[in-house]
Amino acid sequence: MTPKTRDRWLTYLSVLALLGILLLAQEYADEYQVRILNMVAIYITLAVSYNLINGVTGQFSLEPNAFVALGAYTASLLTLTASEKEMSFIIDPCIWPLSVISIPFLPAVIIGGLIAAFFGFLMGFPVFRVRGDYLAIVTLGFGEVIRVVANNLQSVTNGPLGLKGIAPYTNLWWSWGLALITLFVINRLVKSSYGRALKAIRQNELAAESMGINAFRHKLLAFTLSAFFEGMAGALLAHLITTISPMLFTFFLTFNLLIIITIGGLGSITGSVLAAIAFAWGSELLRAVEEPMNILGLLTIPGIPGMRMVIFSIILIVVMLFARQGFMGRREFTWQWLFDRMHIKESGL
Amino acid sequence: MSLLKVKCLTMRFGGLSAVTDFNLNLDKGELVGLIGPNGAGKTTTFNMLTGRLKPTEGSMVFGGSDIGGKKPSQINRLGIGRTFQSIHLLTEMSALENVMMSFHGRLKSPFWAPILGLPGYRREERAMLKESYDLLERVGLKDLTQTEAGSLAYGQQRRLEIARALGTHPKLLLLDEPAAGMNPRETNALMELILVIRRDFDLTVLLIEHDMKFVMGLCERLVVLDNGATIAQGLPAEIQQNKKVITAYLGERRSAGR
Repeated sequence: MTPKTRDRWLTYLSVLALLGILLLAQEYADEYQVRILNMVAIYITLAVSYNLINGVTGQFSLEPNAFVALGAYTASLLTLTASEKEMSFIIDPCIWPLSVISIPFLPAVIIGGLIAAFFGFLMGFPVFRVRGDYLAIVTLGFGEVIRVVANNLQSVTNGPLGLKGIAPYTNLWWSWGLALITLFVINRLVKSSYGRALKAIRQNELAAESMGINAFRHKLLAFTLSAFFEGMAGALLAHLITTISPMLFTFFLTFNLLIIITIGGLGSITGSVLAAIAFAWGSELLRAVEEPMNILGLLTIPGIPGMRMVIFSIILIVVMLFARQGFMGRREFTWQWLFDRMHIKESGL
Repeated sequence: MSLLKVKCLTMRFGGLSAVTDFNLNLDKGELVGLIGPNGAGKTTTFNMLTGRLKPTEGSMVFGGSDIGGKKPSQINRLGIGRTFQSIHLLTEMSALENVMMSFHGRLKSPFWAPILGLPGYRREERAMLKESYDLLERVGLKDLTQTEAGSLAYGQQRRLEIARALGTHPKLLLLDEPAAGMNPRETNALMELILVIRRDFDLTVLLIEHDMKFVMGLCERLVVLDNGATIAQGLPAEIQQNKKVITAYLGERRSAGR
């Protein structure tokens, strides 16, 4: 058996093991644990697709909250029934075609992704005329624009009231299914000639251009693709938490994702996965620090909402100081690496 | 047959004229040297020819199509390959990947072909892999295919840049100081390499170089730039005797007789 086929089988086996764990979780885990598992999967999808443009292609952009919002709103508006929409849109009635449309979940998720991708594609034209800091600022602006529009387009988004009573369609199969598809697609792309071209643009755009690679088109490809997956993740997120409002899609969402991909290692897919798991799980564990605390009965600290963000920021600072490349740097976890490690341990004994 | 026709090419940066009224006619198969003191405008000319700089004035026609105002990637795909004076490799990638990258511009499979694992893409990937190995062998980097480009020795990096330029299947190859930083032995090997690839790949070569032994031994024709203006053109032997050239390089008479 060549190492390549061995690695492929190991990957299949671990996917099977994951499905087994999900099956067990579905049966035995309580609602809270299932919800964390769902959030982990959605964060994996978001982080891996955000990493495609920020890490692999090296285009520092700050807009995923916009694409998540676009996907979440599109899919929710499509799955809500006409009577539900009539009930929630109390200030302005929902505009005509949207007010009567109600479609199943799967097409709604895909359309959510497509709408986000469409906006990503259009936005790419002005945005990739600039680089570096300017790119970050322009995309940050775009993220804000989408949020402000969602806040004010009363007859489409129901404004600050948001959408309520979204059917809780998202279960473990949906969220982990999308995470696995995203991983599969982006991993295949990154390992192909297109992925090399994206990395070439990150490393030296001038050299890439002089080798006949159209940098603009490749950036647009990465951007649109990541918008597509972020939009679908947004759709799943909406159908998991069942209530969305513009407040959910502020820059903080982007900031969380930025922490994840930076800690995981910019450009490393497996790094993003590990960091997404750590983040989604960690933010639940760290709920404790926001509760009122009593230290040995001597000192009582009142609960401070937002303490988790302080801790995450400290972790980010520490990572930047001591491991600037994140957990994984630009490397990927490979089975070969694992075997090499085990081998070293054996021979070391 | 004329491959490249450059007329009245001028590049001004604000008030400074980096290149003024540059004319050049390259026939297919020629090996021409572009020389001149530092700051004469040689690299600026290369940057205009490859689309990195937009000329202020003048026209450039390559193989029948006007390349003025085209993007670097478009010009490359029309058939102008280049290497850089300050090496521009993809330093975090292996030598092999660097060369494979140069085939990407001509890739026919769309981006979803590798995702779906379509046979058309696999065939293309195999073809580029094989051709990349061949190119690396040609430039003498056969044993270093998996080495990260950034950790290759200087001379090896220069040769990798040549392999990479060849991967884009150019008709015209622009070499910007290919021998810089090489020892005499490496320089001789490079001269041989350039002659061989010109023959085997049916190339026209335009090169910039300061090493006079290299230029005089290799080029069939020379163009001399000084302060952005063309001061002489002709056979190497003629250029060596040209008064203007000697002055440009060595200054006035007193120092000429050193």
